[in-house]
Amino acid sequence: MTRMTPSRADSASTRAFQPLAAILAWVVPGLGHWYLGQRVRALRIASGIAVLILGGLLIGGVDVVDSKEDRLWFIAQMGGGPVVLAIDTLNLKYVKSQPESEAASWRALGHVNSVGTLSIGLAGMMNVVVILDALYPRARGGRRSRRAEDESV
Amino acid sequence: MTIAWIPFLQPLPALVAGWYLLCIPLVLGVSMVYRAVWTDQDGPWMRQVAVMSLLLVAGLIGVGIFLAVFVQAVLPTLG
Repeated sequence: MTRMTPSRADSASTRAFQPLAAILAWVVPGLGHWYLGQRVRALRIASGIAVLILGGLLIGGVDVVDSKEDRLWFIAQMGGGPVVLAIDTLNLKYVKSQPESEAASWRALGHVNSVGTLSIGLAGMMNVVVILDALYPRARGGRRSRRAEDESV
Repeated sequence: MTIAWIPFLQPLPALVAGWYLLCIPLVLGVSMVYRAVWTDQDGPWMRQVAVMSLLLVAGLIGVGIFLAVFVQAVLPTLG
């Protein structure tokens, strides 16, 4: 795997405010950290978000993303990026437009719908955490690193 | 003609009985992302994901048991 040179990675990671990294993190989960030179972390983030989104789709189908009937959930899900918008478009244009008899097998009901919706909602909300982490990369590193920063002041 | 089931497009069929098992991929995904952000890049990510997933599942079971006892045993005594 190609790695960013330490100097470029360090200079990118230590800048206080990274709006481009945050935008990239929303467009493709993990891409913001990849841009910052944190490629291992980027792959881990991408795999985690993929588990949540693909898991939600596998459980509830495309019906779990619905900007018309589940608007509040859709707002949370949109943190996952344009892929959620694509799923919603697929649902509204191709699934919801089917006749009622055909559409029944595409509708998720009960717990299946709840867990599928929750899974993609959590993907969106976790990606908001990731976006904030990419936006302020110096705040990352956990308690130990923060304590080290405090002691160095 | 109807197609049986199209993965990722149609909901999982016949999953009503074991719906609570669906929390496992959900917990795993949350742990993967959380630990990716908070673990050092050369840290033991997979081990920490496993530990966090197990703790979350144990917590969910604990909350489930507590609520079941509360609803079934405590609430009726309160009249």
